[in-house]
Order: sequence, then structure tokens, then C-alpha cells
Amino acid sequence: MKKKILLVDDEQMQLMLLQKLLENSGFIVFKAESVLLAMDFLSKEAVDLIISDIEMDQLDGFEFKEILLNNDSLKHIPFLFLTAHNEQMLIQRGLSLKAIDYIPKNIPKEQLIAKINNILTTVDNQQENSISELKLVADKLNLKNVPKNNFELKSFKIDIFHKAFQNHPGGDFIDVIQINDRYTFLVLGDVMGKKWGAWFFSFTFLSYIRSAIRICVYDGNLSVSNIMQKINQVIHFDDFLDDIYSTLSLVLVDNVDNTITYSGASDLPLLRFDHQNKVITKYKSKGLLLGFFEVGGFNEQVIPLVKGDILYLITDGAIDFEANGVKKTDINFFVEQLLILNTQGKDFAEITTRIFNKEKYQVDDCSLIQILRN
Amino acid sequence: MNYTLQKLGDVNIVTVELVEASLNQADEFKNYIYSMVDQGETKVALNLEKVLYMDSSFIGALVAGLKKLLSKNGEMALVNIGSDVLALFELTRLDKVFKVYNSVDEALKSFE
Repeated sequence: MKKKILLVDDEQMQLMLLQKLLENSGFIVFKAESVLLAMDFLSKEAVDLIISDIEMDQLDGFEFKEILLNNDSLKHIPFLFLTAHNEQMLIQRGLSLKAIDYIPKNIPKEQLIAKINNILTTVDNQQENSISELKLVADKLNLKNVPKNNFELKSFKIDIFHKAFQNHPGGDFIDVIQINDRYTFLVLGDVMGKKWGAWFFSFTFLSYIRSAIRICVYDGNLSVSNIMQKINQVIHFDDFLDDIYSTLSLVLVDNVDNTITYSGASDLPLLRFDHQNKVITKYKSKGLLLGFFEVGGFNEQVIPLVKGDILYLITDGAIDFEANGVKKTDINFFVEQLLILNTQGKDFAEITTRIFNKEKYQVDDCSLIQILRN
Repeated sequence: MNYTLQKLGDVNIVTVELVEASLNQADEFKNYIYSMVDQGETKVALNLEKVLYMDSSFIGALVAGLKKLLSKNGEMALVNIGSDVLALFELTRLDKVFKVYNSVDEALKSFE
């Protein structure tokens, strides 16, 4: 993906020259003619690097860097000063503000591009190393919110697809809870948020869900809407999850009656591919966001599946995408693709490869569970 | 600024000046609503006419803002939601969690 650079300079000509140079080298460039305009831009858009002039009217480059350092979400953006000066005092002041480096305004083009590429590569490597270390620790502690395996039941085959956003663990969580030879619960949730914060809370939700299922099974009550309400109630009264919300799709697979029972909380509809008639039907639940109200209004539906039929559970990352720089949410587009590929008899691996391709930039965690009636 | 505030009596009409409302603005938005509620405001109409895309992080911030208002016996109305965002709200029943209106006037009447 192309890297985004914000240029800040009150000299329009300098901005345009640098913009052209950087765009020709494959960067996406944004311009701001003052620090205030830059801050306004940064509140809306994330960038990979900021290059700022030092001497500007109103607020100068040093003051800009100080403002960024006091902003938790912006202080880590790599920052370069652009200067016509080469005075040791100015350089020292800039570096003490944690600027990565200086660029003289007359720097040769090749050197400038090499310097920027070096900085961006170093930052990427550092981030990857940090993420690898965190992942290693999570693996060692056996902290997983998505199972790795697919599952073969007597009458159903269950396939799981999960793709993390920007390779960070995130808020989507999946669980397969096999009670006995007859009953298996499938869980698909999405904690609202992204990356590590959402990932962390997904374990609290998973733990409540597992407990509620076990307690209800122990009581001999396998109603999915009843289980949903139990989960909802616990979360509603948990102060730890006060402003953390999650969607949830809960499915009970019965291997003896060959039925699927479903209940949902602000989740996306389940999608059923009718193998014989080659149509996809949406199954919408009535339940509201987990924990928001004391009573979540959950219902349950039995979804008929005959041989060859397929049921899909999805999170919003499956229907959100970015194409040509525009982000969209479009379930109908997703359903159309799913229908075409299923009608062509494509298997799960091919379907996921075709739908989640490089032409559509992923903008969130993306999860899909397929239940094939065999 | 990503949010423009207009006060009509005791109602705060907040226009969200974002085309894409997502993770990058979610915390800022939540804090904006929280500080409004902490200052004693209880009626908020959010004008979303400029928002063409909203991700789940921003929706989470919206829900948190609503919950904060409800805890103070306040109200939040969503106004002029774009068709894509409204379709997502309808799919996920969030249109049952929020009060949704087609115009600021309609929202103002609901606060009376």
C-alpha cells in the first residue's frame, strides 16, 4: 500500500515542488499551508510521515512538533524538519523535540527519496518486531480468539476464515463449543473497535459467552435466545465493559435433527445459499447490541438446511471495503459475489480468495464462518 | 474542527463534518459528547448528512455517547443519516437503539 506523507509549509511553491517530487516516487501526498490546517487534517486522516518547514507565520515547525508531542494519537508519527538553515542550534532544538532528522531544502532528489524510504522502512520494521513480540507472548499464553482448525461434524462441515486488519489481532472473535456428539455451538462476535484494544476485550466477551452456554446446557436449556439474554444481562451489569460493545451471532447445530437454530445481537444477517434454487436468503435477528439494555429483545429462528445448502455467518469487515480511495459498506455486493461463486461450485478457499482480493482494500477485521450441510 | 455546534434553546445540534467517520476520530468524538454531558447538556441532535462511511469503532463511540446521555436522563437524536450508513443501522437494529429523524426540525420536535 502506498505511504501517505503530509507536507507542511507556508510557501506554496515549495509545497508544490515537493509534492510533485514525492508523488512521482510513489507516495500519496497531502499539503497544509499552516500548522492549524495540518492539525485539522490530522484529526481526520492518518499519515505515515510528516515533513514540516521550521519558519512559518503564526505557529512555527518547532511549535507544531510540540503540539504533536502532547497528542497521544499523533506523537508517534515520524517527523522530519525541512530547513534552509544548517545551524547547529536549530538542529539541536529540533532533535530534542524527537524529530527524526533534518532535510536541507536544497537536498538532491535521490538523497531525499532514499532518506524517506529508509525512515519508513525502519518504522515498519520496528512495528513488525513489536507486533511479533506481542503475538509471541499471546501464543505462549495460549490467548486465541479465533480457532485455527475447521470442523467436521456428522452432517455439517464448518469452515472458518479470519483475516486480521493490517496484521494486528483485533476485535473479531470466533468459538466452536462442542457439547456432545449431538450439539455444537458456533459463536461469532465483533467488539467495536480495532486492533489490540478490541482484541483485549474480546476475551472478556468470550469468557462470558462460554460460561453462559455451559450454565444453560447444565440446566438443560438449549434455547439460543435464552442464552443470549443470559450473556446480555451479565454484560449489562459489568462496569468493566461500560463503554465497550460487541455484536454476536450464536448458532446451535443439532447433529441428530440436522437443524440450525440462530439468535443474534446487532449482528449482520446470516446468509443461506439454497443449493437447489441458487438463491441466497438473509436471516435477520431481532436482538440489540449486547449489554446496552437490560433486556436485549432476542429471538431465535430455525434455519432449514438441506444437502448442499450453505449458511454463512459474517462480521462487518466482510462487507466493508475501500476501492479507489472510497470506503464503503455494501452487503448486497458481497451477497452477489457469494451467489456467483457458489453457483459456480467454488469451494470455501476459492470463495474467500476471490472475494477478499487485492483490488479491495480491507478496512477492518474480516471473519466468515461457513456451515455446509453434507 | 470535526464537529460544529449550534445551540437552539437547550438542544445542541452537532454537525459531524466528516465524510469517513472511523477509528481515527472515535475517541475524539466520544470525549466531545462526554464533555458536553459533563457540562450539564442533556439534549443532542447529531446531524450526519456529510458522513458517507462509518466504521464499527465510530459506531461504538456513538453508542457510548448515547449511553452517557441516557445515564443523565438525556436524549440523542440522529438526523439526516446517509443511505449507506442507515442501511447498516437497519441491518444491525441500531435504528432501534437510536432515535432516527429525517430532519433537524423533526428532531427538535421530538425534544419538546
